[in-house]
Amino acid sequence: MTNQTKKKAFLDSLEASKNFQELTTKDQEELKLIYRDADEDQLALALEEISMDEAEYVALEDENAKLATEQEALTKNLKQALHDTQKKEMDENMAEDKKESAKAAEAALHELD
Amino acid sequence: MKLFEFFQNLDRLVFMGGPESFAQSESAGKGPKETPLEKANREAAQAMKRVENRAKELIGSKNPRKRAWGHQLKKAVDSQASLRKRIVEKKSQNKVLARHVQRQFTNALRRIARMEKSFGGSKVDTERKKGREKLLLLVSKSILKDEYRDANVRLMKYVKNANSQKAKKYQRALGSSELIEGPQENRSSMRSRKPNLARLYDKIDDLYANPGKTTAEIRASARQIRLLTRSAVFREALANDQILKKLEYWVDTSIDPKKGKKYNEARIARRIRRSEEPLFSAEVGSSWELTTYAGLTVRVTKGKDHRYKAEITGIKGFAKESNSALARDLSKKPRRKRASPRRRA
Repeated sequence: MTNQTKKKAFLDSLEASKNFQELTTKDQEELKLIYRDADEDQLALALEEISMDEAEYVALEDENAKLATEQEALTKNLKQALHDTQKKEMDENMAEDKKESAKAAEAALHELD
Repeated sequence: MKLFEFFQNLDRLVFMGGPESFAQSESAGKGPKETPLEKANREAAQAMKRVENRAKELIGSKNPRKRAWGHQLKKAVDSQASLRKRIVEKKSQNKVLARHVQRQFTNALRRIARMEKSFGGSKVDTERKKGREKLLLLVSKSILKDEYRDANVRLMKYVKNANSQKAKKYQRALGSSELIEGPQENRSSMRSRKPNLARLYDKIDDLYANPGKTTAEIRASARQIRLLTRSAVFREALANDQILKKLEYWVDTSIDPKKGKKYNEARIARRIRRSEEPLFSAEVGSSWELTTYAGLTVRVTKGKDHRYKAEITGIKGFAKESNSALARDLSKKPRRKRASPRRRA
């Protein structure tokens, strides 16, 4: 009875663990099968293993999330720099056009003279 | 006959067009799922490429203002390069590590199940319990052994890789003194030439030799061995050794024997900044301490914007005899803490 509930608890945490979920169906079935006749000590040791590996998995995931945020900030900075330059460029182009048209107008005036 | 053929073709048409195309469209819709990190990584690469291209265009412009903006943009990209390099490296390391965690997960679970079964139950309860405890210890020891063996295989792989990369860089075969040593090789000469790498190998060996007594301690040691044999740790050790070697050269060549502490510190810092490699990609705030062969102890810290701070903290032996001004300056103040004792004096 107690062993039965322990086994159930073991299977629950096994199935809930991300390392297990990433396995192929075949490997998942195999792991469940080899623990069918497991005793208390085995279950305790296996549970410990599951939680230790889960902690590592989560730590890696957290780190990846941090890396993603860092990269997003990097992308944002670059996009901002590009945007700012584009704006400056547009102003510059307009100023250039103005200068050119002023020059052209002046040339036209000279021609009239 | 024709009608039969028609049905035969129809059958084939339905078969080919039916489930197969359905399956295809389904898989195309799902695709391999892109993680948030992969997405961020792809977008960052795109943004960098775009800014780079724009900078190139502007730099080629006739308008001097536009050219200046182009250089500004180029600088913006370049300043992100080392950060991005670090992120990309970390990303691939984590991928490898995740695979490793997963393999360990299945292997350990298999081993726990298998080894316990090989233990025939004895009839007396206390004896059985004792036997189990012994067995749990055995499981842990066998995991430790596996982990240590794997660690050495991994380290050898890194060494082989690093050496082939080095040979490629030099475009020739490496001499025996240039080869990076593996964990199997004699460590006494390595300790002075590559202190960080030797320390890493020593630490792993020590964990294996003294893993602790209880099951939990042994498992923790096995785990520690695994964490120490990540490629990132290995590469960091190598990089730090390379940095120490280069720093020693820089310090030796920039010391002016007639000048005092402040002047020489500034000179060392400038010297480092001028030819930054291999410190370029090190993180801001990293610091290294070394004692040169002549006997000068220097602590170097990397600051913002690729600026460095050098602090001469000790002088002895030949360096003391040959740099009188420096020795005088250093003796004025109370003696500071000496450099890491692992470095040769």
